Amino acid sequence: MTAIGRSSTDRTTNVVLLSDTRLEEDLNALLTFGEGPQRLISPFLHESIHRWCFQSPVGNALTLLQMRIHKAALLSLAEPDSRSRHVSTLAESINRYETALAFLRPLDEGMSLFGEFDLKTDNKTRSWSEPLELAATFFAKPLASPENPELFIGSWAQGVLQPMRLAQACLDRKADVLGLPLRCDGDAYLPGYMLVRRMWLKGLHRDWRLANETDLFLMYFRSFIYDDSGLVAVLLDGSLDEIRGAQAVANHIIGRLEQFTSFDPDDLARYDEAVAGENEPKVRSRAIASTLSLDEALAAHGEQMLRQALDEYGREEDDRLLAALQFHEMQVLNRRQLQYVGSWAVDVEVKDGRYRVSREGQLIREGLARHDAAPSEGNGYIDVLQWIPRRERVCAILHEGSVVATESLFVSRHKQNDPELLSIIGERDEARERLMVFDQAVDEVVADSWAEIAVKHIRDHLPDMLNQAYLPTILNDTPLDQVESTSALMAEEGFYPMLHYNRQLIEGLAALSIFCSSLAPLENAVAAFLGHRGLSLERTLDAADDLARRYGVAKVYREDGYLLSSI
Amino acid sequence: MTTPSEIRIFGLRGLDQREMRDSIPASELRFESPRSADRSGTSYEPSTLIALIVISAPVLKGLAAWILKKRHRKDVVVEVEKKNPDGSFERVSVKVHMSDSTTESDVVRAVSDQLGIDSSLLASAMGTGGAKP
Repeated sequence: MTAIGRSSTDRTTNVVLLSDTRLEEDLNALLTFGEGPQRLISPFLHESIHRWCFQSPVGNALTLLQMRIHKAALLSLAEPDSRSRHVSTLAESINRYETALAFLRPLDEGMSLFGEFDLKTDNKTRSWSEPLELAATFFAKPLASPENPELFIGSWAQGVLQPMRLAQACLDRKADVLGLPLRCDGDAYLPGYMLVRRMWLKGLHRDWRLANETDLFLMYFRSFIYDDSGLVAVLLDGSLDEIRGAQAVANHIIGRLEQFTSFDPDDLARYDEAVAGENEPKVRSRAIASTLSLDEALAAHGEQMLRQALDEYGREEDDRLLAALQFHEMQVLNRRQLQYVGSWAVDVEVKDGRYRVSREGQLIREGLARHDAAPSEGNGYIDVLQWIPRRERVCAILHEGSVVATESLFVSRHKQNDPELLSIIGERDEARERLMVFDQAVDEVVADSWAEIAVKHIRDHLPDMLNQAYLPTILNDTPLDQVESTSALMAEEGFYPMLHYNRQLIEGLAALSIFCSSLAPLENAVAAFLGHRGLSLERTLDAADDLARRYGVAKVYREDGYLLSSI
Repeated sequence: MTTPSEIRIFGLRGLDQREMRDSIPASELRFESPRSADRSGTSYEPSTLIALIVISAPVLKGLAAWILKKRHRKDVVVEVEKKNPDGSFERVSVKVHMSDSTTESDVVRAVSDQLGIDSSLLASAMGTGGAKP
C-alpha cells in the first residue's frame, strides 16, 4: 500500500524532505545533472526556499535561540539550586522564539508559494537566487557546464519552470491555495501568499522591473527579513522580560514590512550588484546589508551577538552536560549546510571495504565504503542531498544511523568518502532524536513552573496579534469597515465561498494568475490558455470584478490588453 | 473480472473533497491526510488528501458525478490504488475523456472498465439490472 508523507523543512536542522520521491524512479534521476522528475520541481522549490530563508543570520539566530531554550530546560532539571534563573531564561526565550516563528511563518509560506507559482528571471538583472540555481542543477538539462551555470539559468527558467507551471498539477495546486483558510495562525498559506504578492505589487510601484524579475523581488524581500541583523539583535537580546521581548520581536518584523514598501530603487540596483558580485563572503554580506535600510547601530549589535554566540562553540567546556550539549549543537549547526532531497529505507551491506545497497534482493548501488566502516549488514538508508556551500550533489549511505559511505558528484574530481562531509553528515538520526528529547524536556519544565503562565499568555494572544498585524495589509483594497467581515468570510475556505464553490471560476482565477506570471500577461493569450482548458476569461474577469467590488479582493488590473492579478 | 473491494484516490485537493462529499455516500467515503513529521517548527507544503472508498453501485455513480464536475477539462486522470480481493494493492491511472454529450453512465462504464469492476456491479450502477443480493 502506498504511504505518502508531506514535504517538510525542519527549521532547526534545516533537513528538507520531499514527499512522493520514489527510489526506483528517482534515485538515479536525482543523482544525474538536470534529470530530476518534473513532479518534484514544485515541492523542491517550495522547500528549497524555506531552507534558503532559514540559512541566514535570522535563521541562525533562531536556531541559537532554540538551543538556548533547550539548554535552559536541561540546566533547570540538572541544577535545582539555579532553577529560578534558568526558568526565567526559558520563559523569555520561548516567547521571543515562538513569536518570531508565528510572525515569520506567513512570510515563509508566502515566499515559498510565490517561488512555486511566480518565480522567474531574465537578463534585466545580474543576480539570481540560490533556490533557482539549485533547481536548475537538479531539473534542467545543462546548456552550459555544471561548473558555470551562468549561461543557462535564464533559459532554464523558461524551459523548465514554464511547462511545470502550466501543467494541470500546478494549476490545481494554486486553485487549492485559493481555498485555504485566511487565518494568519496555523499554516498561513493563503494569507502568506496574499501578503507576499501584496509586497510584490507594492514593489512594482517602486521599480517596475520587478514585474518580470520576480526572482529579484523574492531575493530582496527575503534579505530584508532574513538578513536583518537588527532582528537578530532583538531575538538574542535577553534583557527584556518575557512579554515585552515577544512584543519587540513582533513590532520589529511588522516595521520591516512597512519599510519594504518604500524601498529605494537605487538600493535594489545596488543589491542586485552586490549579490552578483564575486567578492569574498564578508565583503558581499556587508554590501548586501548596506542596501537593506537597516538601523546601523542595532544591526551592528546583532552581528556582534551572533558572532559571540557562535564563538562560544570554540570554547572548551569542562562540565560534562555542557560539553555534550555543545557537541550536539555544533553538529546541528554544521548539518544546516546540507539540503536533503530524497531518503529511502534500504538494505545495506558493508564487506571487504565496499558497500552494497539493495532492496527486496535487487542491487541498487555499490561502491567504496569509508575506510573505518566495520563489516555489517542490515537496515539502512540511501540519501540524496546537496552540500550547499560546496555545490556538491551527494549520495550518502547510512547503516544503523551512521554514515558508511558518501559519493560527491558533479565536482571536478569524483570524490568518495570526503572526511569533512562524513563528519558533517555524522549520525544523521541521533541528532534529530536528541532534539525531540530536548523538546520534551522543555515541555516538562514549562508545565512544572511559572513559565507556563507566561508562555500560555503569549500563545493565547498570538492568533489575534497576527491577524491584526497582517490582515489589514493583506486586505489592502478592502474598505476598513469591511476587513473584519471579509476576513471572517474567508477564514475557513478562502475564496471558495465567495465564488460559490464554482470550480470553473476558481480554476479560472488560478490559471489567469499563473499564466500571467509564467508566460505573458496579455489578455488575448490568457483567453486562449483558459479556453484551451474549458475555462472562460470573460466569466473569470466578471467574477474577479464582482469580488473586487463587493469585498475588495481578487482585483485584476486591466490596461491596454495587459492583465495583472492581485492574487 | 475481480472487483476491488475498496480503492484509494490520491492527489485530492480541498475542492475535490467537498465535491466528493456531495456525490458519494458518506458511509463509503473517508479521507486521510498524509502523515506529518514530528517536530514543531517544521514547515510543510500544502498537502493533498487521499480518499478511501468502499466500492458499491451507488459509489460508482457518485464517483462518476464527481468526475463530471471536471467535464470542462475534457480529459481527467485519477490516480487510484485498488485493493484486490486477495488483499494485494495495484496502482491504476484512470483516464476519462469527456465531451459535452458525455453522460454519467458513460463515465461509470469508463471507470469500471479501468478498475476491473465486474459486470453485475456495473449493471447495477447503471440501473440495468444486476446481481441479486
